[in-house]
Amino acid sequence: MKRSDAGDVASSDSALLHRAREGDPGALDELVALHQSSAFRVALGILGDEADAQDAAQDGMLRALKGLAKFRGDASFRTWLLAIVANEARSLLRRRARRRESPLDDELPGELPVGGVAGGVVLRAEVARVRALLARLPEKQRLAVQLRVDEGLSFREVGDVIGSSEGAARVNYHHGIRRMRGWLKE
Amino acid sequence: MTCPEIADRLPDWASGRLADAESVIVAEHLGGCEDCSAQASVLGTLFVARPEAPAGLAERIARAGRVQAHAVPRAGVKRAWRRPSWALPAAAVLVLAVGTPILFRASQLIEVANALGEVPVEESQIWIADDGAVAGAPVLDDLSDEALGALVEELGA
Repeated sequence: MKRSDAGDVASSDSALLHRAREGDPGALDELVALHQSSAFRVALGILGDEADAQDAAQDGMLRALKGLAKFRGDASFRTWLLAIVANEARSLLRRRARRRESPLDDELPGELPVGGVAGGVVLRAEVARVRALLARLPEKQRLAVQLRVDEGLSFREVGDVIGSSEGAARVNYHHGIRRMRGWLKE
Repeated sequence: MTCPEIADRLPDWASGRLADAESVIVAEHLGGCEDCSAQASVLGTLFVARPEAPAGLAERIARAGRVQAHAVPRAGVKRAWRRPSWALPAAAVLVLAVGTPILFRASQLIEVANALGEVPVEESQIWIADDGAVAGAPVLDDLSDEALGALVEELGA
């Protein structure tokens, strides 16, 4: 998505929000379809479990859509939505943590698959390895990398979602990338 | 551009989001900078491997949301909810009697309202809103006092 595409999404959000406020339930369906993958990825990044991530994405999106009247437009709708989903995921993580160890710690790969780039094609093993390394980062670094790379949020928007300043979001992102590159060289 | 300036833009470049003019500048830099190029490779791999929502998630969310007859408070539209004088005491009694607010689930209200034949509601067309199933919801708006009384009685049974 180029920057102009990001603008198109924001414009589309704006039109859908207007329709939703007019009581058009189809607009809510479209908002869900438009942002479900981002919501799922953010929840997955925090929870590390697909089933839990689906629950958190659902609960977070419903919470946001039910509270549309509270959306003031200070941030983009997507940033606002993802912040709510992230809070929902953290809340679920805390509830889960009371019953078991962190799922992310449980799922750390012992021996990571060896991969590489051959003939310009990124091998499946390399792809899995990089995502597995992402999961090893501390939460703020992991989310900063995810939100910046997967979702294309600006550092300011990343900060809005993870609850930090723009500068701290940038530092978390660069620390995360540096650590991942270090692990890849091991 | 310096390496730190390039590094800030690499996520957008690796994911194809960067505007064309800047993309050319970044590509030129990557051609002569091994470190930035290696970083771009990692970011490109990350982006390619980003997970998508499982099939059916959007429908699952939409289905969970379609339980109330209006999406969000409508801008500039004042609700005309006719609340009979006994409605609040009746609701309080109902909550106390049952011991849990779960009976206020909109889907149940809809089911009962449909059963009463007063308000035909298509669950597939409606969403829940913050002001919930009790306050100002059309499901209850249009019930006569008699029908509302029957509803309260049935839920409390």
